[in-house]
Amino acid sequence: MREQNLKLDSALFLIVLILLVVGVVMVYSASSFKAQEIYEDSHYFLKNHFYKVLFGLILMLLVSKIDYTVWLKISPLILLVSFGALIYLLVSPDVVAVRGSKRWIQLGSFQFQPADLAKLALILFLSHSLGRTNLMRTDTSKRFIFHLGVIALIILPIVLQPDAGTAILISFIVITLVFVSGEKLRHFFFPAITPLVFLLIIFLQKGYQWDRIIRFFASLKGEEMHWQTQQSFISLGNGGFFGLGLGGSRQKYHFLPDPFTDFIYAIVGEEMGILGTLAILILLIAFVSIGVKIAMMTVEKPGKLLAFGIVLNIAIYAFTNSAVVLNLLPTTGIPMPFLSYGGSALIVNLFGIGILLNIAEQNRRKLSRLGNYSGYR
Amino acid sequence: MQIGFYLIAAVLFLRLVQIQVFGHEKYTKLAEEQYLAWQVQKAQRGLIFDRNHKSLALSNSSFDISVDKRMIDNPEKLSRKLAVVLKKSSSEIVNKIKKGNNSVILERKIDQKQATMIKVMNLHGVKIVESTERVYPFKEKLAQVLGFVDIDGNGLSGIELRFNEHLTGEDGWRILQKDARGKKILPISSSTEDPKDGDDVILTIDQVIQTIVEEELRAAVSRFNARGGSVIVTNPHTGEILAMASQPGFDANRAARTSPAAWRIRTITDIFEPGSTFKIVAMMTALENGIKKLDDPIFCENGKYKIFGEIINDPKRHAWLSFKSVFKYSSNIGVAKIAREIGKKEMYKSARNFGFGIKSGINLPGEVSGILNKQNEWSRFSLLAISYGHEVAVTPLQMAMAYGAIANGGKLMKPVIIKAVKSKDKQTISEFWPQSIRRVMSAETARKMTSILKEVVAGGTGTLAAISSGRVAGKTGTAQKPLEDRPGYSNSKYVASFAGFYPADHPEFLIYINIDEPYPIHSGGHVAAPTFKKILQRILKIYSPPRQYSGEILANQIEKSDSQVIPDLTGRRVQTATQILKNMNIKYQTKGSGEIVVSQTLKTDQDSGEFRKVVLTVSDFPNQTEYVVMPKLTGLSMRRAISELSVRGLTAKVFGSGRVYNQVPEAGARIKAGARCMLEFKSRNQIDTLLN
Repeated sequence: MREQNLKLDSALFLIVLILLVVGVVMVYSASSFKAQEIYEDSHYFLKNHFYKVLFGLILMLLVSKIDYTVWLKISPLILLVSFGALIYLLVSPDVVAVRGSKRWIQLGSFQFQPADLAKLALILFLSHSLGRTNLMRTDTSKRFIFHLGVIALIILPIVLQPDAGTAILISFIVITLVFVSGEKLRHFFFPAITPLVFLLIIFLQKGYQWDRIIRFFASLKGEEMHWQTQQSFISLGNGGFFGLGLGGSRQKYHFLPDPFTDFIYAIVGEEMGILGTLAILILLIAFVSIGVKIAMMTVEKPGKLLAFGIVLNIAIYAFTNSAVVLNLLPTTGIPMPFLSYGGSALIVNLFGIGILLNIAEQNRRKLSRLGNYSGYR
Repeated sequence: MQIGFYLIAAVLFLRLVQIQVFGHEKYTKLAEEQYLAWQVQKAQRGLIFDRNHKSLALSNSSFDISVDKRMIDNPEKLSRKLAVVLKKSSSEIVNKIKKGNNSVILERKIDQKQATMIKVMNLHGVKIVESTERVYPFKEKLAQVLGFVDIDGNGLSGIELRFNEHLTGEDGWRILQKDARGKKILPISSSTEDPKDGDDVILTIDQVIQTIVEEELRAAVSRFNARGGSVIVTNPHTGEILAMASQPGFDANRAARTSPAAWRIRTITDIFEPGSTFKIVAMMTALENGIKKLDDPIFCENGKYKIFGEIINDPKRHAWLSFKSVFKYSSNIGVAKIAREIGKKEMYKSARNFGFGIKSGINLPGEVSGILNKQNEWSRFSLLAISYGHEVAVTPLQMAMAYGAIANGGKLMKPVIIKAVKSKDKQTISEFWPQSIRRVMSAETARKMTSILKEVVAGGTGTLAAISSGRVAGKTGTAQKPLEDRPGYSNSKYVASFAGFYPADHPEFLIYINIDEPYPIHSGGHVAAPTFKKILQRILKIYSPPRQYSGEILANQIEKSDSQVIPDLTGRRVQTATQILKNMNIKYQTKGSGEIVVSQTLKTDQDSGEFRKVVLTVSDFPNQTEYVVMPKLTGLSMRRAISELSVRGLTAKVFGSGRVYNQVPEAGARIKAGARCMLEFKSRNQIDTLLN
């Protein structure tokens, strides 16, 4: 058991590393044409991505050495900062709307998406708060109102950006986390339902999002697919079994929009075939399994919730992204963790992995103190 | 929770298999449809040269500029930029853009400099399309013979039409990979076919002589207030045409704006009653058949001869004239009497032998055969009328060739205007050798006739054609034009003509002239003969001493090889091929063994370059058990694709029509000989729309 546990964090690290390497290669392949066209430097996006991956990895290793409870303790602060950034997005005149929504703050050449940080902050905060409060069994209605308020304050500004996809995924993470924490789910029914109500309003106002969903369901019935999804299918289908070979993608020549960000999985399929896409899928499943195992092994409830939250966050993003690429969900603008061209999501995700590694390490130390106790689950 | 993820993963897995494994074929096809762009690479149209390699027709690049409205955000701004280069007002350009459809052609045929300037400006939505423009540097000179092309470069008349296939060449194509914005990125190396530029056509025309002829013809037409006229200059020994002109003419560069009537090659398409120039038929027959000697006397009835209820008049009254003087003074009565002695049968035969009533076989479109009725259709009087050139109709070219037979010692030559067709890499594709059609008369008769024709110029009707440097032989013709509305002849409309050659005893140049409806002076001797003289003098000024057109040498070669165009026999069965050659009296040799002619080459003498024989390489059908390599067929026409397959012993199942769009198996595949392939055809347009 000890050995197995010892393997867990290094296996997790290895999976992440493989995904990152694949990501770097695919980002380069998919972006070189566009980089050449815009910047006359085919390595432009590669370099940018590589630096971020490097920075993220260093950050991850640093964080893995820091006791994760530190983050739990300062989680209200992080949440506050995130909230501030989200509000800044809404009110600042400096923020430029990209494709109709205000999601990014430009920090030099770095695009920071506050929602990414807010997501992690919320997971940290809820793990901290739910993990502690549940043990103390304080007044339920007070807790309910308090959490409802916090969650709503984070999700609302995201809905207003508007960024429906992220809002829905955060809601989903929140619901799952609450469920895992052992709280009565109905108490958190409202915070979960809030974004949905808002989303409905947004959809009724904004034509294109509603249109996307309509088109998605229409496409399931065999009607013409959205251009991007159609192109995604052509990438995957043309890739076939073995793919066109690294660098062989043709869809990246403006056919497939966002080839190195949201639709990088399609390019993987085009260049490496179903062998590539399946390999990624298997790596993701392995990641989830190991992540969940680490969470299960965590004795402390906040740590357990935190581990769950982090794994959940990445897993939901990964599966949503692939589902969009495979036209099983409408287009949402969700990147593929570790693979997609890096933004703040990459950094935040690696930050999360750092925490997860720390949790795993602490578990191992406790286990070794317990000796050969194998009945723990 | 884990189970939930596994379930999701399973769904994703199935979806991947569905798209990537089962959808592979479908999406590969979709992918190719959107990546591949068919780009035609225009073949350069061949040039037309004169015998001294002067360009008579060439192709220049020109550029059309067009804008795609959908790609323009600010037409005003764009127009201001373009206005400077196009030298137009920007408001004019804006209007043009706004009025037009999605794609508007702003200006056609801008020059290279302007095109480069616009290219450098790199304007979004502005397209520059290169096209080639046919240019005829000598404008209206030789225009009818050269012809012209339509806007797509297809020959519409003249040489351009007759040799269109050679001149056009074959467009090449490339299949390019393009991006979603239609930008062509890179050629896919395996699928290209380089354009085959058109072949050059080299004419026997001498541009210098042509220029002289054009200028003098024009001058004569205007001086004699004529409706038009034709001139032909030939080398009588070879039948080569050195110049050929007719009026009214047109500028080939502006053909579309001229009257189609001017496009005709009048020297071969227009017929007229020749009048006295036709008397050579009776003259020749009488001498050749020994009916008359040069000095035999003939009574000319003092200018008025009633016979068969008709009256024949002479312009000048003569009582007795010797045989040769009948021609010298061009007595109609005298020649009619000679004709009576010759008889219908011999008269008809001689006229046919001179080539009248038959197409000369010149390699130009639109030739007519003229009118020479069969002898059994003749009335009693017809024989007489025909003797002085009525009741027959000839083309100027027929007349020139007939006189050529006298000049060269008795052989009717096939007129040649194409010297050679050469590919762009200077390989001779076909060469047109002088060809004798038949011997019309003995050399002796020809010599006698020449002596008579010399006298015509020395002291007869043709004195105005005489030049001081040497003897000219020739004959005048003054033909009344038939009335258009009733039988009979006009008293005011004439065709004045003159046919002559120089130097009379060793002719280098034969010049035939006719002037249509000259007024008021209308006789051949006063209208055509002086024009002949002017042309001849100017030619001699340049080619004096008379330049050797190597006529003798070429004539010798005809005797030896009796040159003919050798047919393409590749792909035929050996028996068939050899039978064809036997029938044509062409020597041949076969190489290899088998049933099919694979290739054919000509063997020539190493020293003289003379043609020796045809060498046929033969081989068998591909062995049925062998493997062959599937050729690349995409883009080929059905005929070519199937011949490519059949050469390899393959058969094809064909879908659609047009050009090969898809082939199974793919190019390069090794397949059993005799196998059946599948070819999908689509029209060029369809392919274009599919790929673009």
